Amino acid sequence: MHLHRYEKIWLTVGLLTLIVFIIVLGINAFAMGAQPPSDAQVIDPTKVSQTPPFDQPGLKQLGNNNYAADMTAFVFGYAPNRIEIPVRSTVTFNVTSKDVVHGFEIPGTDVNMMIVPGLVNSATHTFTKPGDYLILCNEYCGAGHQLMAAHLVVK
Amino acid sequence: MAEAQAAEVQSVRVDRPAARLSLAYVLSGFLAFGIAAIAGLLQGLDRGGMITLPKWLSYYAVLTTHGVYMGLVFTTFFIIGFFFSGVARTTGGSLPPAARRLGWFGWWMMVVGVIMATIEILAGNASVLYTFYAPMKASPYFYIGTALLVVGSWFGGYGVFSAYRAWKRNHPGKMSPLFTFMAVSTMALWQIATIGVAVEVVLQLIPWSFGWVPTINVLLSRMLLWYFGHPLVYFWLLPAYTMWYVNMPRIIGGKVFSDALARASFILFVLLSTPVGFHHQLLEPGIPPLWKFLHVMLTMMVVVPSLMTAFNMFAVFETAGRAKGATGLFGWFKKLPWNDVRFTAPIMGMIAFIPGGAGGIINAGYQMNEVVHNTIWVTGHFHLTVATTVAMTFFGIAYWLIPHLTGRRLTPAANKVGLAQAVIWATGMLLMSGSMHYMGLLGVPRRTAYTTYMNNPTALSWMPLEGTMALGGVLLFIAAMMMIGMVIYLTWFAPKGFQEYPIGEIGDTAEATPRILERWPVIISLAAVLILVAYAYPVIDTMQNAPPGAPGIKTW
Amino acid sequence: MAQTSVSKTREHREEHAISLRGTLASVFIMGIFLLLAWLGVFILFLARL
Ligand code: HEM
Ligand SMILES: [Cu+2]
Ligand SMILES: [Cu+2]
Repeated sequence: MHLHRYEKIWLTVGLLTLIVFIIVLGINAFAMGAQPPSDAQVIDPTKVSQTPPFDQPGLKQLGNNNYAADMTAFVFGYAPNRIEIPVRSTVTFNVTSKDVVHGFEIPGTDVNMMIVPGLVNSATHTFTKPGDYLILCNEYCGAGHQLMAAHLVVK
Repeated sequence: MAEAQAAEVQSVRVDRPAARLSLAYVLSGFLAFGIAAIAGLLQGLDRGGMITLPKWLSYYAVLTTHGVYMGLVFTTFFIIGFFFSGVARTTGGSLPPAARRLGWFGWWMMVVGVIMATIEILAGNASVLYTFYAPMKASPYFYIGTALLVVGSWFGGYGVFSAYRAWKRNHPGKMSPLFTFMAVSTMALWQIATIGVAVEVVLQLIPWSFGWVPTINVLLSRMLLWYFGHPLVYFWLLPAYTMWYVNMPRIIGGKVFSDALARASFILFVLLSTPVGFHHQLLEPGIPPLWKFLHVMLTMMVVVPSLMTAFNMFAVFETAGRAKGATGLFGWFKKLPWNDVRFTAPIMGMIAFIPGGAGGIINAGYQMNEVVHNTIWVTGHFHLTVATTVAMTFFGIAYWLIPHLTGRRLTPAANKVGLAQAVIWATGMLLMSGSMHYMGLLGVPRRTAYTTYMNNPTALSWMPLEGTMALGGVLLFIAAMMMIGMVIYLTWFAPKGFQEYPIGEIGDTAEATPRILERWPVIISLAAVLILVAYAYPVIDTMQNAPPGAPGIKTW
Repeated sequence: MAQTSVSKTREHREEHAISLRGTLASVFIMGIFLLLAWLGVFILFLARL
């Protein structure tokens, strides 16, 4: 099959660019740790309220400026629905669902993950700017989906 | 001599029985399009805070209707109708009786399926959107309706295959016509793709929604859905590519740039468009990072046939323009028939595919997906790709296909209305999709009714953009109604006559086409191997290490 | 080897007969747009880490 010379040039440059994209993303994710949320912990979706740590959802201090937020998502809210942390804190959000699939997104940050019943998902973020952050559900989950939100206050 | 031959070829007409079949599909598609456009308008206005939907009409029932009717019904019906017409046109003007029987059987099955699903959506038993994610549990009849729609479309595909086989039998050792080849490869891709959703619906959702099994493996259902979800978008796109490769050259007075490359790009799509589904599940728990990354790499590879297509299209335009005496680097651009809607509507769609494709590469960017996932950026993205690139190409096709099938003509006045329609659609989409992209980068969620999250300042700051989106939606709705008007006119009222079914000739510099491009057993086996590599381990892992299943609930 | 000679002359003719400079320029303009859009969002991603 014969390719016009210009087409060869174009396809070579195009393919190389795509490969560069892959390499950049791969290094950033696998070597520098910017992995998308891919937690593998399983949980019985019908027994979330009896399973630690989700029997007591809330913020737990792990160290200096280091927190874990164990949260549950359900129709149509999150527990806890308000979290306060000091500025420059690193928070790992561990979230699972008590019913259907939900989303977990903090606009203005890279925190964005799917919350699938039966699985726990987690994401870590360091909050360097004070403010009132909105946590919202970005996966349709039912009639009150547009109301499903929580607040994160960084002081 | 060659001219006379060409004229004779262009005068081939799709015969009555084939035309009736094709028309049944195309018109059903446009009926769905018209209904879905009303839903789209309501969504835009609701999100923008311009109207409040009455209590009995849930935003999410409206959105389910829009997604199912636009994404699944309009596209599938139109595509099969278009393919039947083109296969008939390029294999001598008619379809073998067996192909027609399969086609009608499939049409009826699809219609029954759509009616079932519609009743359940309207009754409020299936506000689960067109992706019907478990464990939201809809009425079993919604899932059965969907299954009938899919299985019906298989029969449409069998019809295309049987016409192809008949042609092959009568032309031993010859390469099939390019259009027919493209229809066959697209329908083959569709057979491969729909296995995932068929398994999900038949083995998981239907038994579970009837209550025969108490719980469902949610992650498995999502993997099966997205095994289908990405090739679904290529099922939408490839008929548009078929039009660009085969019909477009004739419309602009040029030739097919390369038969071999056109076929090669389609084969690449058949091979690569399925083993990439995890790029829709990049932020999900339960799928190991390396598997996600493998799908990301394969996704980047499926960009290559689109790069080929882009080159080929520009080359067709440039050669045609230069043959008409264009000079300079871009002189050929002005030689294109900008006042012919058969050209103008599709090329607007092609142009939209540049930002559309860019968005796709961004979405599939592994960790970058965190910026856009489930934000309304994604909605903006596929309104560029499917609702502009694909839809405007389909509009462009309808302007000649419908009069060809009904024995009427596209009049100069109708052509003008068509041009206006195309411009309004494109403008509306620029506003709607543009603001959707921008809002998405700010984090505005998709699939969400009007909300300010209790007057949250961040959410309040989004409202002006939601308004721009709604305005775009109004323009789109106007253009959609113009399109429906044109479909009615061209079907029943346009003056009688002959409207050419444009089929491009192969350029004389085009190379002979290698045989391997039509060895289906080889191609399908290769596709199967790639699918096994990409999916076998994760699927088995998800089945074996699954958490306890989730019971279904109705949350709307 | 009639086959190779046919494709040789074809190749020869093609490179001379069609100028695809405009095509090459167009696809590269498109490619640059793709690259810039990708970089834009990648930078946004890094800024929001
Ligand atoms: C009259 C023109 C149209 C308008 C005004 C319109 C408007 C909209 C809006 C506002 C949404 C997003 C709602 C949300 O996420 O909350 C949406 C979603 C969607 N649109 Fe359109 N659209 C139009 C045409 C089309 C076309 C032609 C197609 C495809 C062929 C299409 C396919 C879809 C799909 C698949 C969804 C996603 C549904 C979901 O998220 O479940 N739309 N549309
Ligand atoms: Cu939700
Ligand atoms: Cu995809």
